[in-house]
Amino acid sequence: MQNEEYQTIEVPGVGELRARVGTSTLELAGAVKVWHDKARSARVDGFISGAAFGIMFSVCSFGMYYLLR
Amino acid sequence: MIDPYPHPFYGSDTGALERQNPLPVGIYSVDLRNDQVPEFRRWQQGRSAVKVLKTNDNGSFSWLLFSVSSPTLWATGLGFPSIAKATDERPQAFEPTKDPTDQIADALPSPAAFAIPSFLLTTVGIGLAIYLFRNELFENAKRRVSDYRSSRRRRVES
Repeated sequence: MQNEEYQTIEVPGVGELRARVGTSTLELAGAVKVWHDKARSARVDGFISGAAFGIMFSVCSFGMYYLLR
Repeated sequence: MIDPYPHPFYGSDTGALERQNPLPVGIYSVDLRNDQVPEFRRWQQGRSAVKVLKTNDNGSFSWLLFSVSSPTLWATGLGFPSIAKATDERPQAFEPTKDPTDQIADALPSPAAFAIPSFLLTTVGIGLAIYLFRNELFENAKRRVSDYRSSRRRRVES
């Protein structure tokens, strides 16, 4: 995918990313690192919050089931 | 004067650090933290040979371009000044950095995309565990309670 502003670059371990045309290699390396760190923390945050809600939901629903049966 | 350690932003020609003290006649630039600027101003005061040509500050750092028309003792606490030209502008490297993620067009993954499978996996896992072990868990607990009660009753009766 390519347009006026962005070009596709292949980042080892990350995959394809669209980077702004004219970004220096040094700037790009920093940008990819920041992007990759943010993406990883989004995945970890999502996984942890999903698991926490899952545990709460299970405990509450089984608690209600055994109280009300 | 060619500096053996070129200035990182100017290179080895115009950006060479001036280590001589007093400063020879010439034009110099210096990068200072904003809290160092008053010290520079105190040094400048009373030295008619020193003339500030340009200043530029970005909030936390100040860049000053100044000329020295006769050899002048430098305030060594401010670090070495760089040899400069009257046409020099503040180096780009001192501009505030842009948001690096702005350079990447791809959207960051949403935490919800990972939260939903994780939620389902945890719920199903706990549900399955309770379903498989509930007889053992609850029947054993019930048996222990009734054993305790009957043994207590026997003790009371005897």
